[in-house]
Amino acid sequence: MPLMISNRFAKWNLIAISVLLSVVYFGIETAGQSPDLFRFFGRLHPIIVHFPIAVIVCALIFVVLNKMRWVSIPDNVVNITLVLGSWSGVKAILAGLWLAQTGGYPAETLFLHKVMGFGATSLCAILIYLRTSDHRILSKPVLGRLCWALMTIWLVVGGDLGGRMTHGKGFITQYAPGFVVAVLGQPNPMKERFDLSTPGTTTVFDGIISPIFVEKCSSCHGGERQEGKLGLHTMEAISTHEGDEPLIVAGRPEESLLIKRISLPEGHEDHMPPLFNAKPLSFSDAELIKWWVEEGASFETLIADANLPADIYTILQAYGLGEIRTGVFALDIPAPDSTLIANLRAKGVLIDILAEGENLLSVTCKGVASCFTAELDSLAQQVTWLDLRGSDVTDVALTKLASFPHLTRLNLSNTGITGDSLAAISSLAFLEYLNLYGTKVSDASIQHITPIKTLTAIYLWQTAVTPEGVALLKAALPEAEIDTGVLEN
Amino acid sequence: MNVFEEARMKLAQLHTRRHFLKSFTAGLGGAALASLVGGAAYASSGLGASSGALGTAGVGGLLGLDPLSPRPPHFAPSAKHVIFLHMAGAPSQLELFDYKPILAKLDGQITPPSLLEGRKFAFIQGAPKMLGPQAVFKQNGQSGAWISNHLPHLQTVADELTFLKAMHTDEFNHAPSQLLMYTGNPRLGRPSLGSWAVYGLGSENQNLPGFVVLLSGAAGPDAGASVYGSGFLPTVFQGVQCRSQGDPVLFLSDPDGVSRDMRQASIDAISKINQQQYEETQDPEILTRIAQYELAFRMQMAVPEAMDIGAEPAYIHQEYGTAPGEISFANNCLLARRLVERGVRFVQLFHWGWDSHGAGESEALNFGFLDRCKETDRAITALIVDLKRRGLLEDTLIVWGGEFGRTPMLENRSGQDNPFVGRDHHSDAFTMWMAGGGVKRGFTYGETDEIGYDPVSGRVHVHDLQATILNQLGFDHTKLTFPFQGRNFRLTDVGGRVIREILA
Repeated sequence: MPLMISNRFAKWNLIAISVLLSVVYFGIETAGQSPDLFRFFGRLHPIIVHFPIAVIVCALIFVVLNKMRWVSIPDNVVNITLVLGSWSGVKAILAGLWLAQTGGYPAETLFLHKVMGFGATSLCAILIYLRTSDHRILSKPVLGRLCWALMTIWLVVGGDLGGRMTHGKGFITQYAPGFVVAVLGQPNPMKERFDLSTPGTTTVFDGIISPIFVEKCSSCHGGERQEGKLGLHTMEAISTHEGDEPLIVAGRPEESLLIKRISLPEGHEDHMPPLFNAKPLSFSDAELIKWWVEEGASFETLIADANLPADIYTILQAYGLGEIRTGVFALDIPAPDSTLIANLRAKGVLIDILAEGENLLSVTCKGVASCFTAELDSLAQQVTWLDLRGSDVTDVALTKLASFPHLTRLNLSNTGITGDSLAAISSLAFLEYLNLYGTKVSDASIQHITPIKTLTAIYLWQTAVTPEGVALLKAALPEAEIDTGVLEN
Repeated sequence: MNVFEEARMKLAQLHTRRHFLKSFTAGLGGAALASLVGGAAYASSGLGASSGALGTAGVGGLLGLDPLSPRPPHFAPSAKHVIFLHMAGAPSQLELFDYKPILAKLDGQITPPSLLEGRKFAFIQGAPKMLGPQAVFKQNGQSGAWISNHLPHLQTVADELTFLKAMHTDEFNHAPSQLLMYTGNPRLGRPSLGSWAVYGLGSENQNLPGFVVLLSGAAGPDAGASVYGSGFLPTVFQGVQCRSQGDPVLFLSDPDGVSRDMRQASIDAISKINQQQYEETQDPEILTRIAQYELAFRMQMAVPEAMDIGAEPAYIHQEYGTAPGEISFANNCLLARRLVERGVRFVQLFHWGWDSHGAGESEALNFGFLDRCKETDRAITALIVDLKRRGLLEDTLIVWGGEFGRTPMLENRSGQDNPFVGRDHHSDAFTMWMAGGGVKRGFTYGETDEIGYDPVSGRVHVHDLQATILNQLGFDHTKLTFPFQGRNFRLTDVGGRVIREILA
């Protein structure tokens, strides 16, 4: 006598499953830590869980095919399939509950996942009861369809939540073709791995380090799950981490747990990321993280301001880091008038364009009488290196330099200036190099340049400036190197 | 065949297929084709045309342009000038900078065979003895750089220098190694470092060559003038040797009975004819010839002025140890400063006599080598100090070195008792240093093992050094190229890495 799923069987099946699930749920939730054997069984959840899903989907296919009248599968076969689905569901739930107990999963996602799992299994049992019922209302097809629809949705959504907890958000869409990503609205994290387009406004952490953590670590140490109570997905999660060993010791990678764990040999059981179930860090990733810790593990340092050793620079170049432009190079300088340049060149003024594609100019007026012409004034925005050494420039002419806002190097050596009008150039915001050797600048007049905090090199050989004057200058401009032509040792 | 037929025949021979294509690209109007054959895409020296001037343009790219007019590099440069101080013969790093106390303990011991297996030496045969440092070392300045007592003056400027302690090269004989150092290839025929620089940048001073070579010592470099030649680049970019005795540049002064005016008139006439010839044949070497004649004429006035070190005050001669009218390395150092002041891009100095094998007194570490140190130490130090106080070290890169290094083993060629000590050629590890021009100050990069035999960190190849020098001048060494024999050539061949670790 073959097994016929009667309404009576279905009723007891439903009752048994409901009772069992309740007992199991409250039992495991209140029992505290389970023995290792159960936890081992719990780890099998990701494998076991596919059985009920496959069986229930199979039943759904039978029903659809019957409905289309392509095949004729007896109702009893469908019902038996559903019974198998419901009981394998119970098994999966049991394993899942034990797995959840090992911890590290985000509470909210886990709760929803549980609801979906319990719901789908229960619906499966209810569905069998409805399908076998001859009750006036319960046997209505609309109820059955509602059950099917709800069960299918819960299976899909519940499954996706489970996947998210194991593999991290965006696991499925990571390599999806563009149109799939567009439909699902998920960003593709591989496309623009690091944010290096605006090094002047992006921090090293946001632009480089965080993307590595999000991509390679956050499936286990992220917002949804925090293995070892560690989250690497946000600045807060990293800086507030508490553990036996410090996660990050700024400037000392060899003492930072983070670096120790990623530096262990791959086969070591404490190696991070673990060999199973995670994406390994590339050599570059590990080097970048170490570099970040070495440089102080700052969340504020901008990429443009960071100290970039040669190897790190090479790595970042490969990810599209362009030339880091600072100072006058970061400014948008209008193109110079080429006829002006041609005219000045014809007069003997040496004009170099600093580099291909740059609008900044280097101008040398050696041996050219009265270099400060209206033509040169018209290039005031572009001139960044101005070499007036040995020229007939005077203190009066010097006052014009205030209108050359982008000067970085100014050479006034071997000219007749006394420096009394040096105050005029104190507004220059980018001046780094000032050469006054062989001029008549004095202790008094040299102090006019003290407001120019950007100065790094000042040349005062063969001037009237005394060691006392140099000391005063040094006090005002501690960053600048002042060369008086005297060897210090 | 009369003279007209001969002229037409000659012209026809000059019209190669390539010239034909070049001449007609403008007519075809195809920009793509023009660039394909290196045609007339490169027009004026104005601002707009300046980008893309380098690399792809090549010979054809120089059409209609004074080859020496200033051109922008790829990116903003750190250095506008280079002074390369080459100690031809290869000075011993183990007596100057690479201090190895353990080598002193091993002095006199027979070298174990494991150190000799698979190595090639120029002269050493059998099992040589180890040779300890023939100098007293001390650390100098804030940086604590090791410099030996042979260079007492240089010790005082240690904090200006960046040492490359783990240089290596591919060649262990002088001429090939010098060629590799300057042309990127150990065989003849490639353009030299200075030629590449002037090809890329043009000349700042239109009255002086962009690339000047100054020789001192008993002989020139072993590889001859090829180490400052222009190879397949237009010859206008080759290094011009200036002498500190007699006429600075040979064949520059007017011949007897020819006045400067007559000289000008004849050069104008020759240039006009050359211009015509160029228009007919489009041979870019003619442009070079025109530029050279005109430059030579302008140099008649400018070179004697630049080369007259008698105009320098007494304290400068005191500092450099110079004496006007002599041929000396010191005079050349002072000249290097004067040339850089006048806008010369690349000044190449060669001093000779550093090949310290110990086979005779003049090339012994305990005799001739000490003389070489004395001849150069004061002047090099004065050059650094002088450029620095004038504010010129900021954009002048000084490079010091030989073509390779020397072995930690004693070379005793005769095998008998020998009062002279010396070392053999060693290509695997040697020291060079740089100063100014945007490199770090008081810095050491690279390290050799306990006996200075092999690099253990910071190993740097000659191509890396070349890439770094070009980088400081504003060039991406992979993009400064010249098309020749069907492909683009570059100084660093297929190698070279900019040593970013040493950049300030």
